[in-house]
Amino acid sequence: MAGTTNTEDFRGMLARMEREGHLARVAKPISPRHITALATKAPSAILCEKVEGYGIPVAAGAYWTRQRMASALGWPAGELGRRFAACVGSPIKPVTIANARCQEVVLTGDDVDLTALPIPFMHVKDGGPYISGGVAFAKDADLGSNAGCYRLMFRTEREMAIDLFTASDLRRFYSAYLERNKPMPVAVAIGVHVIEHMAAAYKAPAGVDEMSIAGALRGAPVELVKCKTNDVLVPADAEIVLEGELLPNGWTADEGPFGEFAGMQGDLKHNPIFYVTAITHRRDPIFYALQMPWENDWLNGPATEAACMRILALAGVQAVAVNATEGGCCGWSVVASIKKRPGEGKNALAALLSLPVVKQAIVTDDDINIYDPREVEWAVTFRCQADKDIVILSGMKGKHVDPSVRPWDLKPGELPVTSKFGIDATIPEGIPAFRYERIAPAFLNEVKLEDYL
Amino acid sequence: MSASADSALVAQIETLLKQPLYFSELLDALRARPYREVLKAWSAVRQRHTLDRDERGRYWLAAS
Repeated sequence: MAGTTNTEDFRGMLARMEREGHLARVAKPISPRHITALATKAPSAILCEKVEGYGIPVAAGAYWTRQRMASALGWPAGELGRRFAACVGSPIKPVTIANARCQEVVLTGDDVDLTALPIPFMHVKDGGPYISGGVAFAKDADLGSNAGCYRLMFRTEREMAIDLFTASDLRRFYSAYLERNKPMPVAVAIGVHVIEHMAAAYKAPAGVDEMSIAGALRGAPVELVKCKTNDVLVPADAEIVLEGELLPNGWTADEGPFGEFAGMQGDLKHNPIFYVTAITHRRDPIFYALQMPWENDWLNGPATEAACMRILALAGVQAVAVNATEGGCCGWSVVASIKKRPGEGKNALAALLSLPVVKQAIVTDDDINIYDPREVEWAVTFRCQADKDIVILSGMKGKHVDPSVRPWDLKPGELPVTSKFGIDATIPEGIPAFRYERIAPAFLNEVKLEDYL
Repeated sequence: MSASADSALVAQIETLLKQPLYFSELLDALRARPYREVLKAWSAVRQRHTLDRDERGRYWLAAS
């Protein structure tokens, strides 16, 4: 937000989350086999201080819920989309520095060994241990700079398979190198602040560098440093950086399956190989193991909520709040509350469902707390007539990851189409608001809970 | 790099990979061994052999 700056690093963020009760330290030694299971069961993010066989602590689960994501960002939980939207339009270019904490230790040549990192094994059907919380950086004189979130599967002490299966800027960069049969310089930063991570996950408009978006979200330029073995720029305060190149092997190396962002086990794929030429890190690095699916989803949640606010504004609808719900993977399903004028419940639905990611939407009046599923259900129950207030749109752009579009029936290269629906749960036109007067306990303000319980 | 892998462990993985198995089954079968040693041995197997995969992601040693 204007007037505030955030220069915190990843470990500073973890320390603040611990102070706010959203992160617990785990002192008991733990195997990399068990980190995901513990993170899934834990009521907060975790920092495993002793990982069996490794001298590197592992953090996990920092963005698992809206509350944890809000804590990581230092933003109010109900304002993620609004804050993102307020900042994102004013990019601040990053600056390059010479000496960086992420390069306090530099390992090259025979010292490069990926097994020295506590790369966890995460899900029952995964194809191997995964770096799930890495941010990949690329830089090219013609193509520009790019940052994005890509999973990497352990193959050998110097090789990871990287998922470039779906369309992305990095895939576009890689395709250009592949056409020339040349390796592509790249770096993967592990343990970056949530702001850089979220900016990398954001589909920035063409020509806008994701780290400029991160600068906008911080209110200050992101500090980058040039890698030791290539010209790629990475966040200077990252915990760990893998430098290397994407080999021109094309989509040939087996990769996956992996627990995908939609909460389902993915398929075996074939992808390029990331060959690691150097590992640099802080003197006492922390590894980050991002947990699927919710952490991945929450990294996109604020941007989705911001996109909903924007599209509603374009439609002339005054949005009060938008909730990209977890069950909808923080994007496929959204609930919006609006200050409604006649007809705008449907207008809002039409706008929200036009967003490619949104598959279902509910619109309520602004008296509904859209972060409370019980209130939303109440509004749907009593303000909606199914034959008038449910909108179904057919033949819209879908996604392969959704099994309900039967992607296995598609021909190679064929894109799926989907149907979408929206529920107008606003007070119907012509019904006066007093018909919905809510029960109010008598003398509520005179009773203090602590006087009785 | 694979020179540092435990040759007995490499051989054990090669034996396990005569049948299709998930990576989790491999980790389960080798749970007595330190995780990093298993990954080093896996790295050696990867470099020494071509591994076949089925559509569900199970591994086995390709016929030579």
